[in-house]
Amino acid sequence: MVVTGDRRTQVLKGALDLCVLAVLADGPVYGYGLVTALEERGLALVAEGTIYPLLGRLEKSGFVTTYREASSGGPPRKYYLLTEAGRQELVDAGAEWRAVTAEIDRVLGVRR
Amino acid sequence: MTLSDEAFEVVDAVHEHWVLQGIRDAAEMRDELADHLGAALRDGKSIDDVTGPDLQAFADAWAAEQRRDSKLWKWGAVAGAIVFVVAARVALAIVGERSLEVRIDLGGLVVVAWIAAAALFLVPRGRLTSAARPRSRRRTWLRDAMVITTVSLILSVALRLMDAPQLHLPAWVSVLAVAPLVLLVVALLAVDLPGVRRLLGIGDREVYRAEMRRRLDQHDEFEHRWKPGPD
Repeated sequence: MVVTGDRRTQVLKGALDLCVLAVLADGPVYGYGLVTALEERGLALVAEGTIYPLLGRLEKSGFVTTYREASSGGPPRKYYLLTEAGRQELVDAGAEWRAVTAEIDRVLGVRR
Repeated sequence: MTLSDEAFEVVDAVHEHWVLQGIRDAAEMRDELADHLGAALRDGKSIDDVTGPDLQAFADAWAAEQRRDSKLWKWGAVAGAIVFVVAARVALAIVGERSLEVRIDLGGLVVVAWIAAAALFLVPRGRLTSAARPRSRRRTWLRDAMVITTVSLILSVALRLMDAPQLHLPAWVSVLAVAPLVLLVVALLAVDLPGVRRLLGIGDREVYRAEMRRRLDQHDEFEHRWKPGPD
């Protein structure tokens, strides 16, 4: 049986990409900015650095693209930006997530 | 915002691990990690909050999603280690016998070559895990040493039972075999030269730290009034 802590980790593993896409939908953001945006929405990561492999996967899948921004006087930073494919994935995966959680809620007897 | 020496140790260790793995964007990833650590420490978080308790797993997970220069690099490095072990053994034989025509014990050579190849695979992992965690370093080194020693003992016994033959090397083969060792000595002398470190993508640590500290200070200055946008 999965203990509570492990369950949270397992659920997060399956949903973190969706959360990252949701944050990126608001605009381009750099790595640490992404983590703080997730925290502001109530999602604290056990190891913040885990977002980088995830961002790498999303980039490989074509859902995210990157660019380096060097503003006047400011140092360059790597920013992550949602692509059109990523925006579509957010819509599809978001619908899938809502369907799955609704099914589980029904099984658990949770009223919405 | 500035990075502690401990945080830089982690950044350096992870970066060198990526370079050794042939990760093409290792320098860019290093900057991103240093930037993240700087911001996290400023917000009162710890290094573990960023990397998790297992630095090795963190670095490997990130590297797994990156482009590599070549998947053959590791096998090339092992082949190189074996070549240098053979060269060193031949050089010792030349000194010992005071002749370019030497005899080499094949069994001993195989064991030493195994130790060199295994160390090349296992030791860099130990160095990385150790970056900011001395206890972890001891555990990793102890485990690696036990693996290498056990396999070496098994190999030694097996080769002794098989009565491994001796190799008789003519002078020209000996000279050819020793040549990589000479090249290695030259390379080791050159590796600390700034130009060579730049070529390897490692760079000078102190220069990098000073530059990154300056950049992180700039991030502090521009953090709240810098609105980025894509090209």
